[in-house]
This record gives sequence, structure tokens and C-alpha cells, in this order.
Amino acid sequence: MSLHYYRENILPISDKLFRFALRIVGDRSEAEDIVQEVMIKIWNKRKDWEFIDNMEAWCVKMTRNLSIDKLRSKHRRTQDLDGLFHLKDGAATPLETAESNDTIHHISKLMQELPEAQRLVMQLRDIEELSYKEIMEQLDMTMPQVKTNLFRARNKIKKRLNKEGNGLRQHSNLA
Amino acid sequence: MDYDNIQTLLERYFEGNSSLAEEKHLKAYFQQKEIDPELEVYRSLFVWQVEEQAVSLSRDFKDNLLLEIEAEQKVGFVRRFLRHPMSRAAAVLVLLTGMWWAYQTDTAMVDEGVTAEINWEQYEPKTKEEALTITRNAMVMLSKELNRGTARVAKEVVKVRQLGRIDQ
Repeated sequence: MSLHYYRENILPISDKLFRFALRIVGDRSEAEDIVQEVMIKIWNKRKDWEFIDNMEAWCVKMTRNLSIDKLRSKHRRTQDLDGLFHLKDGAATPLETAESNDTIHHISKLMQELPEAQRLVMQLRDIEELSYKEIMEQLDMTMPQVKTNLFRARNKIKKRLNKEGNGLRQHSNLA
Repeated sequence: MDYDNIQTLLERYFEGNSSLAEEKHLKAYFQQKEIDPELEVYRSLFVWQVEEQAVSLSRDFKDNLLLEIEAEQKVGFVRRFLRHPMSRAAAVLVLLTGMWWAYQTDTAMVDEGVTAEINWEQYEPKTKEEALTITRNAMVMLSKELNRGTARVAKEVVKVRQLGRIDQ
């Protein structure tokens, strides 16, 4: 019975947990290890399943906690976990723009530079397409916190894209 | 979709006021080959979002995970069972009961063989003539059996010869 429930309801969300872990640690193999560990933990806690209201939110929280623990233990601070903002203020040089603007991979990099709360809210909304209510539950945030973090995250990305766009246009005009 | 409409959607998106349906619309719009050049700067963001949705675990991850859990479940049951002293005592009791039962069954079978009663008196001859008759009959039976045995051996030898497996 437990195994059937696990296979039908928990295993399918492992990809989502993987993307979530990947957004935090920024390394595919490490994110896979984290999901493996989380999935085993979830299985070992099967006696508690009946007391859990929102299984998906519970799994996401577990993944988030483990990912942050791993990140901290390895001192891999890809961004400020305390919420400081590290995007560059100056306009990108044409060279920087040319280097960064060519791939979609660049957006991943911008995302990694966002503070954790903003990055995770944007991940759950724009990639996982969750409602605000679901994001609140999964990240233990209030509605205003969800909306504020989303607004800030999207705007930082927007400003960065606009700066790079302007840089690229100026570079084209010079050429 | 016209430029103004997309522009409005984009504004709502960046303000954090767009609905999920509107955001899906934006993703679809930026997947197109031809879009408004003014909006080209945002293309990578929405294309990236769609590509990220396809990021998944390696193909055999789930299979391996299930195998691991199934193996753990089997071992786990025995471990969990033997963790409690009462369970261990019960296991020993079952083992001892099994051994006792096997021993008892075996002994009963041996005993039955030993204790089976045979009425030997019925074979005791009462007179000399009777003894002679019984002995003669026994000798005849023995003779018949010997003859039957010899005949069977002869028959087999003929068969083997026919197969050419022995030399004359």
C-alpha cells in the first residue's frame, strides 16, 4: 500500500524537487544526490504520511532544507543566503553583453545571483507554475512576501536584461 | 498577438500581477520565431523558463530508487521484527517448536515400524505333512522366481546383442 502510494504520488514530483534543489545548489550531480536523500527520507517517514496535509509542500520543504544544509556545509555561497543583492549595478560593457547575451544559460546565471527567497519564489511561479497560495505553503511565506519577492526578482532580471539590451544596441551602432 | 497586448501582459508580469494563464501566453509568444524587435530583449527569459520545465532527473534514477526502496522494505521487515526482544523470543520459540515437531514425527514413524504386530503363529505348521507342504511350496516359489529372473536376464542379453553392443 505504502509503496503503491509512493510510486503514484511521490515519485512523480521528484523532477520538480530536482529542479528546486538545482536552483539552490547550482550543480546537477549534487542536486540529484539531494533528491535521492530526500526521497529515501520521505519513504522512511511513511508512518507520518497520514498526518501530512500537503505532501508536495512537505517534500519541497525537506528538499529546500537539505539543499541549504549541503550548500552551507560546503561553503558554496553562489549567492548571499542572508538576502543581500549582488547583481552588478553598472551597465554591461559590449563585450560582457556579447558574451552573456548569446545563451539562455545566462538567465540561469542571473537567477543564481538573486537572493534565495526571490529565486525560489520565481522558480516555483515561472518554472513550476504554482499559484501564489501553493508558493506560500511550500516556502512558508505570507502572501505579501510571495508577491514582493516575485516582483523584486522579476524586476531585477528585467533591469539586467534591459541594460544588456542597451549595451548590445550601442555596440551595434558603434560597429 | 498584437504588440500592445503583449506589452500590457509584460507589464503585468513584471509587476507580479499576471495570472498563470497570462504567463503561459507570454511563454508561447516568445517561443515564436518572429516577434516584435522591441521585445526581443526578453525572449531569453521566457525561452529559458520553458526549457527549465523540461529539466529532469536521469532516466534510471526513479527505477534505481524504487529498487533500493523495495530491497530496504524486505530487509527492513526482518530487522524491524527482530528489533524487539519479544519478537526474538517468539522467533526462537517457533524455531524450537519446529524442531520438536520434526523430531516427534520422525520418532513416531520409526516407532510404528517397530511396534507393528505380526501374528507369527499363523505361519507355524501344526503337523509334519503341513510342514512338508509349506516347505515344498516355498521351494516351488523360489524355483519359479529364479526361473523368472533367469528368463528376464536372457531376454535382456538378447536385446543387447541385437543392439550390437557386446561381441559374440
